[in-house]
Amino acid sequence: MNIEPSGVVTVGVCEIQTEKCSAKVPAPITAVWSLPARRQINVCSPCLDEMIRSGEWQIEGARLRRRADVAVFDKSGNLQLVVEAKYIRPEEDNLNRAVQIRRNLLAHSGIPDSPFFLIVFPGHFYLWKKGLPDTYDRQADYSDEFFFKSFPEWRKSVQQQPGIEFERLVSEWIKDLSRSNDESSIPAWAQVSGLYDAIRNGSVVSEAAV
Amino acid sequence: MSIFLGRRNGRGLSDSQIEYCVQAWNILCGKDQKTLILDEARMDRSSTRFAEHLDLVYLGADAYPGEGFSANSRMSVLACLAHELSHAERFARGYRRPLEMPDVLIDEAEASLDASFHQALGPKDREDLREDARDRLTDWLAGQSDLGEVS
Repeated sequence: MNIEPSGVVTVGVCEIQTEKCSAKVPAPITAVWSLPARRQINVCSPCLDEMIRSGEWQIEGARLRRRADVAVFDKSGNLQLVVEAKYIRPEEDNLNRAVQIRRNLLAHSGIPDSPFFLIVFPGHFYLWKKGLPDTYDRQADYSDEFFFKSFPEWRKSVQQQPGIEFERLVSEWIKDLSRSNDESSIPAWAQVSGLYDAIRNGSVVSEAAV
Repeated sequence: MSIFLGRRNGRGLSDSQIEYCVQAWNILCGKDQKTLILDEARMDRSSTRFAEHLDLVYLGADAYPGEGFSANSRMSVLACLAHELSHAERFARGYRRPLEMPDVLIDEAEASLDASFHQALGPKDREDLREDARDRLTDWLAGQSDLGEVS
């Protein structure tokens, strides 16, 4: 949905209320207009950011802050992998949704030009490897099931705070992958794509400005 | 239009004006809240600025628009603070800016242009910031021309 910010700032309750919401009780919010209907939506800043990052909203002429749910830097400090972790509904857990999210992040400059970009949903993940030619709608280079169910110890916390805990789970998963020295345990997609070599023994940072 | 033809508010801010500025700052910073120093905001002719040696933004009377026709004079509180936030974020990204005239004008132009993409700004604020960037570059170019460096 296309959105136009009004530039109005006031105190109120956010109508969106994602997990990252800062105005579930009265707090600073801004008003945006849905287009073309021009329905007013009151939203706090973290929810505005989240709605754009998730691909739900688009704002013409706006740029997102460059931030990654998880970022991995190699030993020289070069950014190798940017990860977006989205705990979304099962019916949205598919390639089309992943492509939509990537397109929105690229269109709003929300992700830097890194060698690898990964979107992780509860059921699947999608990996893009930097290459030319590239387009906003390019399909993922690698995808597979994300074995969320094989992390039973995370089930309770993820159910309680899905977005935040799912990001933590994905961060731990990436850490395990980057620190594994047993090459036989590395999944084929991570080896063939070159991701494992790129992030091996790298530095994994959550909620990183990139 | 030269930015020197305009003037922003010079009268010290009231409590309610300061409160509004804090709310606007909150919206601009989002999850990555940065400190906004309010100590000088009630003083007449105090200036809103990014102090890079302290990595802090000070709120001043000129956060509010003033009289005049230039984009700089009329830009909103939100646009003004977005400009200062842009200085702070660009500093955090490693940009080191010229602090002396005339080259500081280039940095100011770049900060306004960068700020104009902020997701919370409406179309008018974006336009004002871009116009402000243009005016600052025009002033810089005029200065270079006077020095004979631009034909």
